[in-house]
Amino acid sequence: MKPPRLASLLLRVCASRRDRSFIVEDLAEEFVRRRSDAGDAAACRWYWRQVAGSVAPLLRDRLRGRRPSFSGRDYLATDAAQAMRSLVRHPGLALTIVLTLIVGLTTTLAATLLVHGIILRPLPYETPEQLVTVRPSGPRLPASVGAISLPDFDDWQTPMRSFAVLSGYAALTMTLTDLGEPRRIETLRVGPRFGELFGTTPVIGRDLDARDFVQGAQPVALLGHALWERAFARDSGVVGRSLTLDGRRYEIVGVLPPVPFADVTEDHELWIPLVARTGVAWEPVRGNGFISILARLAPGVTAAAAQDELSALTAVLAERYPRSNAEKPAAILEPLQQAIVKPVRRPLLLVFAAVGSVLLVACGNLVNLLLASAERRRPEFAVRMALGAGRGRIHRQVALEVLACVGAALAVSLMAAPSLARLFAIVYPVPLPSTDALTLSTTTVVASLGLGLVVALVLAWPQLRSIRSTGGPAATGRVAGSRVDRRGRAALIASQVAFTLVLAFAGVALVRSMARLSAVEPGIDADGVVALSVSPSPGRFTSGAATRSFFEQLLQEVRQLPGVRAAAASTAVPFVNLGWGFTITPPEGGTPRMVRVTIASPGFFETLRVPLASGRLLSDAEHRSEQGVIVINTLTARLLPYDDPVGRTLRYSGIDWTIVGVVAPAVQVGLRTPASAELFLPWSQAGRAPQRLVVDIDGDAAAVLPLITARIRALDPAAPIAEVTALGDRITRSVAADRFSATLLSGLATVGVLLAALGIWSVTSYVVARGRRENGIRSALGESRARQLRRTIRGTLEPALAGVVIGAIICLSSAPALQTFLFNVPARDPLTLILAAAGVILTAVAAAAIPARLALRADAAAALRAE
Amino acid sequence: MPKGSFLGEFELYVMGALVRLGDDAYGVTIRQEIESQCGRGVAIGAVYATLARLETKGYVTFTISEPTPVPGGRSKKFAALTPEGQRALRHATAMLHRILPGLATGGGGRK
Repeated sequence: MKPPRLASLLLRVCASRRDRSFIVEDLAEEFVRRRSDAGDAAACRWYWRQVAGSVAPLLRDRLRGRRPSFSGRDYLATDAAQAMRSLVRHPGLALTIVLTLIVGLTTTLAATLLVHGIILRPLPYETPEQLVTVRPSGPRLPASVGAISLPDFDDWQTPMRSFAVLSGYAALTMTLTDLGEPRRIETLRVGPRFGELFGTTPVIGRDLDARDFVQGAQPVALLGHALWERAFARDSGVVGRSLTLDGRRYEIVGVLPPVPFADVTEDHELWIPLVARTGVAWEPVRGNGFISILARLAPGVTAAAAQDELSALTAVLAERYPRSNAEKPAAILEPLQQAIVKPVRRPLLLVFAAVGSVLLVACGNLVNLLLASAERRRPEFAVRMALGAGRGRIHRQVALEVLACVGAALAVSLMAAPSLARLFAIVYPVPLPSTDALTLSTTTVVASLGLGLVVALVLAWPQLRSIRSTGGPAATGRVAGSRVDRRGRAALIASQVAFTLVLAFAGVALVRSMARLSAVEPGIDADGVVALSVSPSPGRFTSGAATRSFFEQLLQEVRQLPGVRAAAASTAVPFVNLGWGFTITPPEGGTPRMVRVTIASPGFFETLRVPLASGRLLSDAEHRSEQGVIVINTLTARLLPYDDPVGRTLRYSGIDWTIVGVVAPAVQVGLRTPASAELFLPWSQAGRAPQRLVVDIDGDAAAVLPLITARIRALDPAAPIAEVTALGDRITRSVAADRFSATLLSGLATVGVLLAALGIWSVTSYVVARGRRENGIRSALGESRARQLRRTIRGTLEPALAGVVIGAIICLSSAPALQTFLFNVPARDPLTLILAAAGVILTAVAAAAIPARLALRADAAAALRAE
Repeated sequence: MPKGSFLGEFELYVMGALVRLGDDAYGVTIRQEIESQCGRGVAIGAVYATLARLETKGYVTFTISEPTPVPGGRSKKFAALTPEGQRALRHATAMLHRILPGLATGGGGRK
């Protein structure tokens, strides 16, 4: 009879491994004796008592941990010292790992900061999730229409249950005269309770209130915080002082807090009440939209419910005022955060994905390196285990080595990442919102530590695995690699190549898109053309006629200047600013379309060398008269149902205009945005609207510009001159963002390809070195060098080709995500894939063939002699 | 004497048993010796745990024997005091004498 099974099992569990067998056998020995002395029952009882009494001491002993014979030293310190020593012994390996990790981790962390700080971070206002943008909408309304008119805005002010606040704004550039040099200043015309949207109250003085919005009230202004600091030296007695804007005095009633509003609206320096401007005929008209709407939802109300309530109101307005509002029967709400982030969201995510891919490829290389290192160290580990080191201790040491490398790299990355992120924000051609948030927060630091841990696990795994398979007498390390190792390496190469292909695909697509973009015809000849904004002081030129004659005289004088080929004035210049947007309804009915309206002086089309498509341009006399003649461009002509629009009439702003000529379209915004339908009114229509001068200069613009400004000053000393731009630069800048993305992506793709090539190279070298003996024997047995070469390369190329196939599948399936970046290039274009795949395959073949040839060139006998 | 080297009560018993048992000190015999001499039940686990602790302190060494030349024989783990162990035991008993006057000294063991 044996001792009670349960008791002996309990004993086994509690005992340490070393003594387990002895304890159990000792107790079994006594059990047998007791049985013969006192009988089975008594023996069993005794056995149980023994086990019960042994559990506590044995467990206590185990938990305390057996110390090795050289007692008194701390485990962790010893292992750490050992880890350091082994790193120092292989400095090349350690340095490679740390440097690669630094590059990979810094870029990944910077990208994370950008994504987290710009896309994910909530707006810096009270309860930002309640803020929404509001746009009119209708089944036939172009998506670019986002603003509403002043009468509509007044109607929208009716109290609605779903909105806590509904207000709007319109940007206006005005001339500031009595604060130093006369200059142009960006103001924001704000509706009632605008500050309540952001939860801000003025730091000094009062907010705008109902009396400021009454027609004819004393004009008031709220200074922006930066303006108050700069121009008023933080004077707390600024309330009551005044500014002169566009010739009128505005009393300062308060100063705004330093909250960043500019992320939401355009950049501006102060707020003034949004009321109809005197002398501006088009503003009070219901069809002319220029006010952008922001709202704060009432607590607990969903955007959908608010949208429904507002749409009910707009439907009523559409019925009541069919001529202006019929196409805007509804309204659309969008969370403000989303609206702001939308233009930069995709590019940033693309950068994030690309950088992450490079990190993965780099880690793949490191894993390869460490696999080789692990095999090299097998004898070392085997010897140590034979000398008594537990497997756990070696695991710990390897883990400490990896953690030391990863930790060092992570420390450097955490310090460098915010700077890299900020550098990116500066270099990126489009201003990014909320860039002050690009610092390390708790979330990002914790995420980085997590990433570091994952990377450390990935890097430590090959060595830990190799230790586990080492047991007993040391392997001499001559094995060329078990099948599992080979499969692991193959999988690594395949995944590296797949990622690299995806990167290369994106890079090639963006480069092609960039090429197409650069080939777009802007429609004007920007060579040598300079544009500047000139604002004759409203005090001196009080009427439209006076302003016009100012410009006419100015143009006459400028045209006489040496080097000036042509000059003109207009309210909108391509690539500088947009003409006013108005909707016109084609004569035979049909959808109302948006056209851009520009008032251009004689000489406008000649200065920009816009070709005439049909008909003729306006004569000087026509420009001066009040005749209803206009010029349109070919895109406007396409909206009309006539074969030849010359001589036909077009109804705009209540007047029937006769079309005398059609010009070629010119791009207005950027090369990406197609040209719009345009309308060019005669110069007689130019009132006191802001004008720009366009001058075509032959030769050195820098020499001629001072002459031009001197002429302007001579005619009106107080006229601010601003925004002097060379149109050629503007055109380049309009594609700057695309060029940036293309350059960055192709750069990352190149890095990825090089890393993958490096990986393939090192794996091939390793495999060849391992197989030297085998190859030497084969050579001696008559295998040709070429065959050996082929065999070696095949081992690396097969997984590479598998990687290409996998990568191609990923490319084709995820290509649509790339479409938003591409211009005129279909995302799934086979040419892109072929180019990318060709590049990757060629690199892979070279990376495998070259080291293989170099290595196999060694004498076969030499290889055998080395044994 | 370096700090931390005071012997616990049970450790003393185990060391004493090792002295008395000489070459024949393994789990069973040590346990039985303490049990008979001290008149209280002793768990084998406690014996092994104490032996392990004493080994850490350097007072005890082990020898694992060949399997005994009988059918179903097994190898046993024998324990013996090291010179330091013997010194420690002597010192402990001397201290006990001094602290507790009038102790009856135990007799010599089988040697």
